[in-house]
Amino acid sequence: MHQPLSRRKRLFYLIVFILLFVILIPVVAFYSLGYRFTKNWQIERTGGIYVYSTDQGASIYLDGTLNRQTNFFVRGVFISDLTPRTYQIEVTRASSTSWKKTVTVLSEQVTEAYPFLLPLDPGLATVTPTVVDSSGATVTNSQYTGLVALFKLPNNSPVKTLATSTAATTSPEALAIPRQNIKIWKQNNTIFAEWMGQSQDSPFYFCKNVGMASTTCESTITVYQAPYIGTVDFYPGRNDVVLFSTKDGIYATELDNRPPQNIDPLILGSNIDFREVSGDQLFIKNSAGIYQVNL
Amino acid sequence: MNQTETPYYFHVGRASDLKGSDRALYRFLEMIPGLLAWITLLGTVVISYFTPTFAAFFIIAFDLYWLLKTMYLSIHLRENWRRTRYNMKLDWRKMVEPLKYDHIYHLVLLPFYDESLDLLDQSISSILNADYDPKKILMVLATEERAGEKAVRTAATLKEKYADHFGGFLITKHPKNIEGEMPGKGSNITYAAKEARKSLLDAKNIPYEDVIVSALDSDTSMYRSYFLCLTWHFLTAPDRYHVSYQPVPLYNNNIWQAPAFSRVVASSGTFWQMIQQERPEKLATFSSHSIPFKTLHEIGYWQKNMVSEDSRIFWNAFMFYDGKYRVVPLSYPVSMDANLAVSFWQTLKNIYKQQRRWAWGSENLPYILFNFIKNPRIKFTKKVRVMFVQLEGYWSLSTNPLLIFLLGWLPLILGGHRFNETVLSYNLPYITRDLMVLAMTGLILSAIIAISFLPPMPPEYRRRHKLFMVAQWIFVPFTIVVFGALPGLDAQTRLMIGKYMGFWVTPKHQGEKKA
Repeated sequence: MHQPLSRRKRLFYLIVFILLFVILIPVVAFYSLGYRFTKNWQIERTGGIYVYSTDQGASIYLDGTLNRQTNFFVRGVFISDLTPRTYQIEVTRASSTSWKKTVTVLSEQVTEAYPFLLPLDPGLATVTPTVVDSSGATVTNSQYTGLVALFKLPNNSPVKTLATSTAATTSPEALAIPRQNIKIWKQNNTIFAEWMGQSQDSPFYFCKNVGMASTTCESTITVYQAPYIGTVDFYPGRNDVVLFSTKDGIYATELDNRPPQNIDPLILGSNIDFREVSGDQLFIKNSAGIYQVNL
Repeated sequence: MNQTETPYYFHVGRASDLKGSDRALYRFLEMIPGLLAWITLLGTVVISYFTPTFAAFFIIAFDLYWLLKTMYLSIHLRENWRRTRYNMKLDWRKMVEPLKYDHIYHLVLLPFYDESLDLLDQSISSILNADYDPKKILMVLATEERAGEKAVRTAATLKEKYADHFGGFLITKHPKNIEGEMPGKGSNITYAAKEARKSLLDAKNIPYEDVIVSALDSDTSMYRSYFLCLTWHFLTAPDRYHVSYQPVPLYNNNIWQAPAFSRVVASSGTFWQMIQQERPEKLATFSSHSIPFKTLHEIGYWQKNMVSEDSRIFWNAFMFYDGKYRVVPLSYPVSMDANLAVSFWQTLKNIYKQQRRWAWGSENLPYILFNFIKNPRIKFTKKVRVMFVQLEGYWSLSTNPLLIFLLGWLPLILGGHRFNETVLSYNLPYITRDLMVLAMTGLILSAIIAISFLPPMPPEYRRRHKLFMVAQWIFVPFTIVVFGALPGLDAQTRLMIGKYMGFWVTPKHQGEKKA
C-alpha cells in the first residue's frame, strides 16, 4: 500500500529547497549585477556595452573582433561580461559608411552606443516641375511647387509641410528644431543641441562622467563647429544624428561626442541645400533641380 | 459540542449575517485577500518607480522562489501520480474483504438544476456499475423547484430506470425562495441530505455511524472501485468520524471534445489537487467529496448561505471539532466534465466564470480567521499554520502569475533612464526568462501525467489529436494568468468591496460525437 509522502521526507525536501534558495539568491543577485569570476578565480565587477543599430545586416566589432550581427529581429546587441576599461567599437555594413567609437565600460554599468550608417550611394529621385495626370495631360506638380516654396523659407520654419508659410525672424535658439525632447539649432556656424526633458532622464551625450557618482549633465551642448554651416535638421528618423549643409555638401554627425565624433558625407557637391518633410522625407536642391533622397 | 450548541457565527456566510463589532471585524477579514493582492501588485508598481534596483532584486528573488516552488511541488505531483496509478490498479475488494464492511452504506447525493438526462444517466450508470453492492447504495437525486417541471420529469425518468437497482432511491425537490438561503448546491444538498435522513436512513433504521455520504457534482462519473476504496479508507482511518474523504478530480468525461485551453485549465486543477493529496494537512474538501453521515448530521450539514459549500463543510467540521478534523486523500479518481460550451468563446467565458467561482473560495478565509479569533480551544500553533497556508494560497493564486509573467518588466519601464543604464536592468529580462524556461521544463512532467490519465482516444479521432494533448501545455503561461490569476483577483476584489458572488451553475455540454 502506497502511503502519502511522509512528513519527514517532505520536511527534508523543504529544507533542501530552502537551502537552495538561500544559497542561490546571492549567487543570482551578484550575477545579475555583473559579478563574474576571472580566469584567476578573482571576482570582477563587469560592465557591458549595448549597441543599437537601426540597420539590419550590420556587423558589430569589439576591439577588431566580430561580436554580433544585427538582423530583422535583433537590432540591439548587449555585449556583457566586459572588464571595465576602454573598448573600440566598429559597426560596418555593405554599401554604407562605417562607424567607430571609443567607449569606456564601467563596472555594473552599460555603455550605450547608437551608430548611424549612411548609404555610400543614396538614390536620388528627380522631382519634376510637371507630371502627367491619369488623363494624359501634363499638369503642374504640386509637390515641386511646394518644395520650391519650402526651399525659399529658412529651414527652421515652424510648420514643416509642403504648404508655404512665412516665419517671423527671431533668435536662432527660438527657431530651433525639436524632436523627442531634443532641439537643435545653429548659431555662428556652430550647431547646438538642448535637452528639454527632465534632467534625470538626460541622454548620456548631455552628461560627463556617465555612470559615476560625479555625473554632471548640461542642458545644452555644442554638437559641431565649421567655417560655414547652412541648413541644419535632424537625420530622418533619429533625434541623435544631425544633418547639415556646408559649402561642399550635406553631412551627418552625431550628438554623441565621444571620440571619434563620426562625421560622414551624405551627398557631396557645391550649392546643395536640403529640407526634411514630415520628419522622414529628405529632399535636396542643387543648381540642376530638386531630388528626393532614398536613404 | 453538538449541533444545538454551535455558536451564533458557526454558519455565517458573510459579514451582513452578523451584528455590531462582529460584523465590522468579519467585514475587515473579508477584505484581507483582496487587500494583500492589491498591495502586492500596486506595491510592485510603486517600488519599480521609486526604487527600481530593489524591485529588480525582488523580482529576481521571486522568480527563483517560484522556480524552486515549482520543483518542490513537482515532487509531490510525481509522488501522487505514482500513488494514484497504483491505487487504480489495486484490487480494493481484496483490501476490504478482511474487514467487516457489509454494514456500510453509501448515501450518494447527486444534485442537479437543468442538466440533461443523458449526463445524469451517465453519472448514475457509473455509480451502479461500480464494484459495490448496489443495495448498499442509497441514491438521492436532488432537484430544485426553481428548475421547473423539466427537472422533475428528468428525475422521474431516472427513478423509473434505476430505482429497483439501488438500496434506496429518493428524489428531493429543494423549495425555492427560502429565507436566508442562497440558491446553489449547498442549500440543495443540505435539503436532500435531511430528507434522505428521514426517508431512507430513519425509515430503514440505518445507523448514521454506518453511512458515508458522497456529495457529487452532477457530471461525476465513478471509477469502478471508488466505493470500495472509500470504504477501506473509512474503516481503517484513525478517528474515522473526524475525517472527510477526498478523491482526485479528473475531467476526463469529455476531455477529447474539449478545446486545448479547457483541457489545460482542467488538468492544472487536477494537478493542484494531486499535489495537495500529498500534503493532507493542507487539503480541504473540493468538488465531489465524501463525509461520514454522523459527522455531517452533527455539524449541521452544508451551509446554505454561501457559494463554496464544498470546502466550507471541511472548515465547519474543523471548527466544530476544535481543529481535530482532517481530510484523508483517497488518491483515487472520480471523473467530471471539462468546460465545454457550444462555441469556443463561450467555453472560454465559462472557464473564466468557473475559475472565478472556485477562487471565490477565498470567502472561507474570513470564516476561518473569525473562528480562530472566537475559538480559544483550537491550538495556537495550529491556527498560525492554517492561517499562513490559507493566506499564502489565496495570495499566490491572484498575484504570482502576474508577478512572474507580466510585472517582471516593470522596473525597466518605470525605473527611469539611470536604472536602464545598469547591468542589472539589462540582465533582468534574461535572468527572468532563463528561470522561467527552467520552470517550464516541468511541463514535460505535466504532459506525461495528463496523457497517462486520458481515457482511450475515440476511434474517430486521429493521431494528431494525441499530439495536441502534448503541445497544449505551451498555453500554460497564458492560462495561468487569464484563467488563474485574473479570476482569482476578480473574486478577491469582489469580496474586498463587498460585491458578493452568487452560485453559478457551470453549463454542462459534452460535445458532439464525431461521425
